Amino acid sequence: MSIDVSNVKETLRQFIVKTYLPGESVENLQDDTPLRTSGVLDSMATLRLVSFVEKEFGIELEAHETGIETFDTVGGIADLVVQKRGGR
Amino acid sequence: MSTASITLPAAGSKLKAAAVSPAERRLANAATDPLKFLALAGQLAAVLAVFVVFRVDEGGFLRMAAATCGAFLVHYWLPFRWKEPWWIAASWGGAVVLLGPVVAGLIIGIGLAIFAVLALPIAFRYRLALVCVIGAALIYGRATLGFGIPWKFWPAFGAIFMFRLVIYLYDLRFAKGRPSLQEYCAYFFPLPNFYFLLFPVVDFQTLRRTFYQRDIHAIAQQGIGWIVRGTAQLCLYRLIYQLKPAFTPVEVTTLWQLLSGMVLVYMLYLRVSGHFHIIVGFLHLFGYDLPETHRRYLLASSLTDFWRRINIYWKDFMVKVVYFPVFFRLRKRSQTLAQVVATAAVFVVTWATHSYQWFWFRGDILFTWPDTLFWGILGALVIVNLLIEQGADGQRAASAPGPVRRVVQTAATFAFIVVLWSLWQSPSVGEWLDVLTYWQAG
Repeated sequence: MSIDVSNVKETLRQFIVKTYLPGESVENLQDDTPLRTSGVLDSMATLRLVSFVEKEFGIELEAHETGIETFDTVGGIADLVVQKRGGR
Repeated sequence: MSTASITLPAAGSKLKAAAVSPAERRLANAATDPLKFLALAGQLAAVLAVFVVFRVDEGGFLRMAAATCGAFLVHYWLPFRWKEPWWIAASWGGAVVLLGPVVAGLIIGIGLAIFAVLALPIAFRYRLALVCVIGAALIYGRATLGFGIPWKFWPAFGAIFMFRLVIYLYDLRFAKGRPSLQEYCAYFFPLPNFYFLLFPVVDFQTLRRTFYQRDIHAIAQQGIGWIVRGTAQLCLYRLIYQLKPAFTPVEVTTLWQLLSGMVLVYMLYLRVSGHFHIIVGFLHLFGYDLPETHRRYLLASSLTDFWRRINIYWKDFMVKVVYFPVFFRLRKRSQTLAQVVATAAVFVVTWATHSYQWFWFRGDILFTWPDTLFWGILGALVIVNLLIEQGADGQRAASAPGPVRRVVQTAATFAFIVVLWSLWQSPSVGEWLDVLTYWQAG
């Protein structure tokens, strides 16, 4: 079943800000704000985000899919979710 | 164009995130400013003067530093598309100056041959097999000092390719597109690597993604700050090196000598952390906005914290090629089991790859009990620490440790690392035990 990319982004934004950037405004976390290369997410935080993404969107991720090429921004993660759900 | 900023607690700074393409943003971040350029150039001149006056490192360091700073002065003003080709050309020129034309030519030539093999239009496994054949031949050459190749080639080649090639192959296996020759050369041939044998295991994707990700003046200024910090660490290292008494059973005759000797042995690591700061600082001058290395590692409050701070490049390398693949394979059975096995695998691989590194630098295999015990004990305690942290995860959020507890934790971690480090640096476990006990006899 396909999924709306903007809903995925909004869900991710809510989770990331609540979990890793408490006190920050959700609007400030943009699609292309770096998460890994800027230090917001370390390896343990990335694993927690992986668990959240898998549970929330019903997909399964491989280790190489969590590299910074795809898993560094809200936009990149949302694209990956949509792709895995067969939305494109 | 809309812009917004987000506070990044780890970086402690504001990052502007703009709704434009990465290419457009990089171009905008490379915009020149004569006054800011003069400020950067002036600081680099002062840093070079300190290098000259204090002779902060050996042989070719000054030539490498002068060439890198000189390359920056040109690089800054070049059109964006010419910046990286210039950096590669300057690096190759620096290689010739630092290593001589034969060794530099061999390293660059073999590096380009590896790129050509990896660019072949055949399945990845065949390309990987061909690279393994080249690697096996080079390992044979290193072990036998064969092929009539000058000895200077082997450690320099190892310093460039022994670990970063693993990352490159991993990324090539899973990347959406194939990296260009320019990206390959910028990754494997940065000028400082032709001087520094111990070089941060920079991640290929991180190098590409962070290229001009912020305004160049901010990136370069941060780099200069790290160069200054690294220089201070090297000066401190020299002082400690001169003052440090011999740490042997015969020389250590009092408890004070034992304790101060252990601390000073650990402090000799300032040379490595100083080098890493300078290397990453230099790379910042050319737009590579790489993460901070050795971030206040002396103030780590647990062994896990120490592992996450000391050599972040090595930690990230291990997370990428060992931890995540093992964890993802096992996590369906049990998350905790997956974490324990993946962490254990990281320390086993770290132990083995230190021996592999030793082979490229020295020509033989390193196997000593102090080295084995060091990585074994550190790995086991990091796993225990990880499990404790997990167990306390919920409680910790509710009650963060107070300042007194934090100080005690930091002091205990420092003391433990100092003792473990003294074991690691000892020629044998027997001699280490002798140092710990002989002083009691006066």
